[in-house]
Amino acid sequence: MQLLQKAGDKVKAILEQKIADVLRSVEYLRDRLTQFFGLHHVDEALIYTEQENKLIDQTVETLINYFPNNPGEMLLNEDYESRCEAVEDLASELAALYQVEDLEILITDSDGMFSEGNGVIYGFAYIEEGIVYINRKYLYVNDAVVLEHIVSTVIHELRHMMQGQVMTLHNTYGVPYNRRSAWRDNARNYVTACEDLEGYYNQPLEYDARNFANRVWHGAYHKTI
Amino acid sequence: MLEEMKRLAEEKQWAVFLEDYGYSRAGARSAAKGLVQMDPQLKQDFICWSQDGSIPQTEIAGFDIPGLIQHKAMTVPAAFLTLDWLLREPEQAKTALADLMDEIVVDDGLLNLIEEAEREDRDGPSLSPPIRNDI
Repeated sequence: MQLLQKAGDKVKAILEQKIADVLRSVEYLRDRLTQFFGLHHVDEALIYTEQENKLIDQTVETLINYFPNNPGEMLLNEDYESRCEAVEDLASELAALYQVEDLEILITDSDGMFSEGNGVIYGFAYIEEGIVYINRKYLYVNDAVVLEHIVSTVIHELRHMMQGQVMTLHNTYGVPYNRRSAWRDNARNYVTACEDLEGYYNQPLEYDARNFANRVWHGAYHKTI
Repeated sequence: MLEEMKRLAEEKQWAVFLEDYGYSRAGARSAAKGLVQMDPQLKQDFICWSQDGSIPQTEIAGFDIPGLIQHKAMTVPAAFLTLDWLLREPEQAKTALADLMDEIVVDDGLLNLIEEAEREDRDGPSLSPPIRNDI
């Protein structure tokens, strides 16, 4: 019985891989044909796919489950430990939703990560390592706006992890080749905020992460973050 | 044509200066573009800083260079560029200054994965190994 079960699991894994391969091949052909026929004239950077829109809706639902009202105001009433727990739990649930496997969320204020020199940074996304660092010193601050920003940072950083999945073809969420390629180009030429704020703010990866978080915030709280 | 060549030469000069100053290549190229197009007075002040380290007292929309360096952890060139942005697009610049800042860490591992993926996108996906007979 156990042998049958084991065999069944193996077959299932192989079939799933085959299906993923076929879907990937279809996606590749779609992208090549699109480019050949020049079918997409609009700026694809601003248009989310059906999968992405669905994930935005699901993120809104998840966020409202955690924070039915403004997250900043709700966290104001919690102590530091509860704030950390809420942020970590939200991040883990979103990571599962976005199928970002083995993601680690670290809330820290270690000097190596968030020193005085770059203490204004809310978070870091280490895409290849699968780690998101959140600056814990902001969770001590009793200011609803700051706390709201920390919660939006979770969505912002998780969006960066999604971008990583897209760029490396681990999971494309239906994102077309033009946008994948534009994101890769940006990753090779990433500009940090302390070097050039305008360059950092307007680059595709950051513009998209902000836009994604704003779509979620608008869906949940009818405002931008 | 000549103007374009002069602009590119100036951009390259600033990019080299910024890399020597400690900027990443991408940051230097981005900032150099901004420096070339900077407001003339600010540019003059920047050139003075690059020569003798003097910081101007210029304040724009309530922001000054020492404040941007201290409270926003900016480099001196980034502070100059931000003042220039405040002149050109004050509302956008102020929104960016009020917004959260983060950073994607792009290391060699990620760059390698990106290059592999770009190759697959260009050349097509490789098929997974055939089904084995040992199940």
